[in-house]
Amino acid sequence: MTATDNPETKAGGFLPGDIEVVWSRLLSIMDEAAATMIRTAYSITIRESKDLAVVVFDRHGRALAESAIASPSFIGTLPRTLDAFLAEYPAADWREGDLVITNDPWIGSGHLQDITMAAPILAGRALVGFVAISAHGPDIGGALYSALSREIFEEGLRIPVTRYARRGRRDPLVKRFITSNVRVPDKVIGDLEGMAACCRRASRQVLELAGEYGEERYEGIAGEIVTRSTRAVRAAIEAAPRGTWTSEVTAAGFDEELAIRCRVTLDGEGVAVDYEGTAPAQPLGINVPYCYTYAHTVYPLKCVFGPAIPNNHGTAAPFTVAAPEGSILNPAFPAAVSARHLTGQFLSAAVLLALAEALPERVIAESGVPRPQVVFSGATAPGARFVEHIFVSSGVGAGHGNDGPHALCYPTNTSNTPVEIMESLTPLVVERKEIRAGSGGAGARRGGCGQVFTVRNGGETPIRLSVLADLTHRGARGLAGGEAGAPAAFAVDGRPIADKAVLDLPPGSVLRIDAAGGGGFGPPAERPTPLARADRQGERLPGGES
Amino acid sequence: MNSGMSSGASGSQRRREPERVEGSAPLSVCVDIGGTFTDVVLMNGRGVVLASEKVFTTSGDLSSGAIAGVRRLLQGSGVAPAAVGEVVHATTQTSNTVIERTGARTALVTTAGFRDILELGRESRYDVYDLFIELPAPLVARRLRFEVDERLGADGRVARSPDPGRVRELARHLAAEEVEAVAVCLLHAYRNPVHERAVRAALREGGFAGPVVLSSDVCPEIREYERTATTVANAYVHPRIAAYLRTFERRLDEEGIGGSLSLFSSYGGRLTPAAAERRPIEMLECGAAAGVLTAAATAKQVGWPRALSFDMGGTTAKAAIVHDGRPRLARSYEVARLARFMPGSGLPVTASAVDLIESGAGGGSIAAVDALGLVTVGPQSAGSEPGPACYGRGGRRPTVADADLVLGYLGAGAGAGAGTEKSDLRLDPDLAREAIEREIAAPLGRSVEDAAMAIHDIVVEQMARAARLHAVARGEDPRRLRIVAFGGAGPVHAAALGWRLGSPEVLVMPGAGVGAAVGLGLAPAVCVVARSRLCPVEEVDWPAAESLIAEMRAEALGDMGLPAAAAVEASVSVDMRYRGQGYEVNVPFRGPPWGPESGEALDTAFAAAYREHYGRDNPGATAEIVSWRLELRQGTLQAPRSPAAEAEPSAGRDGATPVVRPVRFDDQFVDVPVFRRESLSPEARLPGPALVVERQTTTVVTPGARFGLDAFGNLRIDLDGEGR
Repeated sequence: MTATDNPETKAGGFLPGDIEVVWSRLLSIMDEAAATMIRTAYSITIRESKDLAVVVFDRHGRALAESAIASPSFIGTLPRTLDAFLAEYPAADWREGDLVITNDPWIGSGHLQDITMAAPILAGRALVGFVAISAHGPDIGGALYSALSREIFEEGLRIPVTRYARRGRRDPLVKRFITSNVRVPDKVIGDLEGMAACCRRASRQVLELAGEYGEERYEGIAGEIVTRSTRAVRAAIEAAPRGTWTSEVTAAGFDEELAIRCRVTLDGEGVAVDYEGTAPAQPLGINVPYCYTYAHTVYPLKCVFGPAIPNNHGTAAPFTVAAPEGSILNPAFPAAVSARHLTGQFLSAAVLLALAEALPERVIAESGVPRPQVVFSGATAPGARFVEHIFVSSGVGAGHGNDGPHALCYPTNTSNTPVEIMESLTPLVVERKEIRAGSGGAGARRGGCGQVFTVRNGGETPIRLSVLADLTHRGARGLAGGEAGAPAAFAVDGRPIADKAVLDLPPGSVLRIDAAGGGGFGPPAERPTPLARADRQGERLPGGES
Repeated sequence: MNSGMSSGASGSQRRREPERVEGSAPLSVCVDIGGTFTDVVLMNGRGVVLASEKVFTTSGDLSSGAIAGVRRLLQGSGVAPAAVGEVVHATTQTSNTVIERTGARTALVTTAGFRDILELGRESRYDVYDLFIELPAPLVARRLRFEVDERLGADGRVARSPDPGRVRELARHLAAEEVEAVAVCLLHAYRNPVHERAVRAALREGGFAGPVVLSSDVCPEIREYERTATTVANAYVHPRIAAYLRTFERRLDEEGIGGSLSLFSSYGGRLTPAAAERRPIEMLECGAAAGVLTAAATAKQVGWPRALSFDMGGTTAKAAIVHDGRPRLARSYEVARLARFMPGSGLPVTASAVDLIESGAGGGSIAAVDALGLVTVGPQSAGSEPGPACYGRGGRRPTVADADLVLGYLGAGAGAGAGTEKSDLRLDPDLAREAIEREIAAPLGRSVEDAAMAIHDIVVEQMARAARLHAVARGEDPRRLRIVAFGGAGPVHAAALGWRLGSPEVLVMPGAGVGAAVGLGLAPAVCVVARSRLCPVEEVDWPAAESLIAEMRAEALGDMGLPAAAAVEASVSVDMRYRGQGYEVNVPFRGPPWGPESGEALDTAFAAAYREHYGRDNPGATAEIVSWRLELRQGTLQAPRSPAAEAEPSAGRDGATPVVRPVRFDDQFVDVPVFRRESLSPEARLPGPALVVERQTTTVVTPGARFGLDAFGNLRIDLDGEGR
């Protein structure tokens, strides 16, 4: 540590403990906001799957703290969204009670389903910071949510950066534009109002906190959070080998496999990731706006170089991400992007596989992602529509010292929808939900198994079905001699269907999903004896049982 | 103790009439087994603590140490074992069994296709950034999870019935596998228990004699994973608890201790041994519940409508809200968290329990400097072995207690007021300073005192954060909550906590060191039952709802060991939400009887409750019922009383000039008077800063506050919202 890095001099007038206390308070304010959102939400993807994140920023738009329940997609994209808000509405123009929203994929989180809202934190006229929340809404209009859209205009209502409220007054026109374009207007507005309540409460609490310390001291402490985080991540990078490593993974795409080429450079100070050579943008909805590419690249880097540091602007500062313009990872408007996660979720594997040679003990093998998602749309009774999403988690890749967990959400973090809840809300009847034995890649450490999920249309009318998935063309790759996991597969009444199919599920028909397993780590022959014995006895799931 | 309770409430098994001690109410012995210490307290029927003992918990055989403690307590106070009217008991046996994985060899029976629900859980990660995340292993391995081909619809209608013959075959297989207990959790059984009961009957026919636990009995609530996990946990601990209770009862008999035995529940009531044996998961949080009950009783005694219970021991701090002399209840919680205190890393339990938040911030919590050059405290704890550095038992890492000693909050040297749970400990300030210097002060380039202050501030903020989150999530303003503090380290930090929360006042009850055990003797008999019935309010069949409540009442009375005609206080509440939402608000609801107009009343009550929670309601949206809850109680929560409050003021309370010691507040040391609690004159109102020491703890009074004893012997600290 150099003299200028001495925390005492850098910390200026703070007492030891001040930074810790302020940071802890900010984290608790974010957690409380997320909890409130979940408990009041209508969207099943918010309330059961917890697909949201809340972040507090300083007045320069630097992220300071995020909710513990947070999807990596949002964490990486939210700061950029706020930058775009500030470009549209300069910081000096924000007033108490203002709420700005967008769902623009290039500004928000990569597809229209997620709405982001931000509110200012103001001490009188003085700007202290911002609070922003992103969450997956109940519906955004357009065609049924699928990967088959050809351009953004089919995917639903695009809300540009817009003032939803000015000084607390909702803009009635904005509200009407939204309610006129979605299938479940009450729920969409209900969730927007839930987001507004979160922002209001969180900004008031941050303001109180800043007031307790004085705004100037608060700002100094906020700066410390960021600079110390950067310093710690840089120290981890400095301790890692230097050099450039590459990897290539493929997505199934539609007609032909799509190559994702990844080059990672560690120079002792930062990590640069470049996707040069990656497949070009595609005609259907699996393109990834840069914001999402960035988020899913920075996420695995954070896991490797600073897993224990609460995420903030500083933890991401040492990372740079480049994706060629016009590639599938940086497409131009108006590319179709609805299912951007089907491509974007390969990026964590690309980054970790590239780092495997340099840091084998800090990475895991490829996981069975993207996890399959299915959208069901139909009627419970004449006139009573439903649209529900489900996520079916896959197996996670093994590490050098651990078996990969079975059927666990990765790299995003959502919960499943309970079978009993789903059956209460829809005519669907789930016939099977179990660990897909044998699907984890063999290895000294075994990849996690995927799951088998079968569901029948128990109603009397067809249910429209949209499958959003990939990784049907190959298994998740193992590392260091570990074997690949089993690929994903989809079928209706026993007949295979495409991983991005949209079709009607007739009454009585059954959809079967086999979610992929994770890759193994190390040669299977080196599996430690106690683990191998436990596999045989069925205490754990053996690689070979089916 | 009111006569109704001692004659009817509990102990249907052991009914030996106590010998009446002339002119006195029946005596209660309260036994609270904790992680490190077992507290035993002797109380009379008026809530007065007559004597208390603190002994080491005997971890291998919990009840042996507890019984030894009871023997010592009775001998020390000259009470004949036969004069004991009742024994009330809280034990860590249930939670230890789950945490240490020492439960029964348990099998699980599920609907065909769903045997892995127990292992799949909710499929989310409790720590997003940990690539090597470790998940809790299920209590039942896959080879002991069996499927039955049956199905109920979401409305509870039978779609396919189980084949009893196949289940009988399964029973024989269970014997071959040496299975001790079976959990049965079928889809939608919360709506209709018929298939689970059929499975149990067939298992019996097939010769399985061990406990068979049905999800429809234990936890009839929607969400299959949480219900399965709860049912499995219950089966898993069942045989161990049964054996434990038999041993405990036998030992009481051997001691000749009379009266009834009741077990303490997680929701702060007493259970008969029979009910405790059947639903042992209801005791998972019983020790914590006892402490909150003490706080509730104390708050009621002094007339506080709402208060924050603050219990800080060696490894954790627990905060809970008490309202109108009652604890708030939660409907679900987690046990055995892997990453300590990280939500999502434990096993979920859907059962009523005192609603509390626990954080890894106790007197033994270890402080360190992390990669960011910041100070962290806990959740790792030095425990009692080796303990904080200042104990001089080989601990080298600095803890909260070491910081408290350096700051002058705790006194060096001998015993009284050491502020540790064990009052005969000697604290060594040199060892404390050395540890803080090495691990914190030197790496930061700050003084030992500054480093100690940082440890103190951080641990207090951690507790404040936990308490604040807990309060606000329940619609309470933390600044309006007065604090009832207890536990060995509670009174040391309570005023600082109160200042941070903006709380107006702190109270430290007499004998705060054994606070939780006292709660056992004050609690009424309580039983809580629930049933899920998803239904919009406008479609409720009110006569059917009344029969449902009647059925629940019969079950609750059975668990309480009471006849159908027993006089009990019943309260109904309803878990409700707007249609389309996924989480419920608990709405208290008067009745039965109900009628056609009850729907409107329920709608109104829900809107009010929703506004209280979330600050707004959704007019026009449809309200629906998820679950019905019935709570029966017999007797009322008593207020604790100290012997001092009953006795004549003793001589020598002259407020003699106290000792003075330097104590640090904020950034400087000031000379602070040290009072002995028993020497405080009842009338005096004194200015802070000050220290008040007693046998098992020290109360720190911050500058700007005023303090004194109230009529009940409670030490009251008036923070006036801004004293620091």
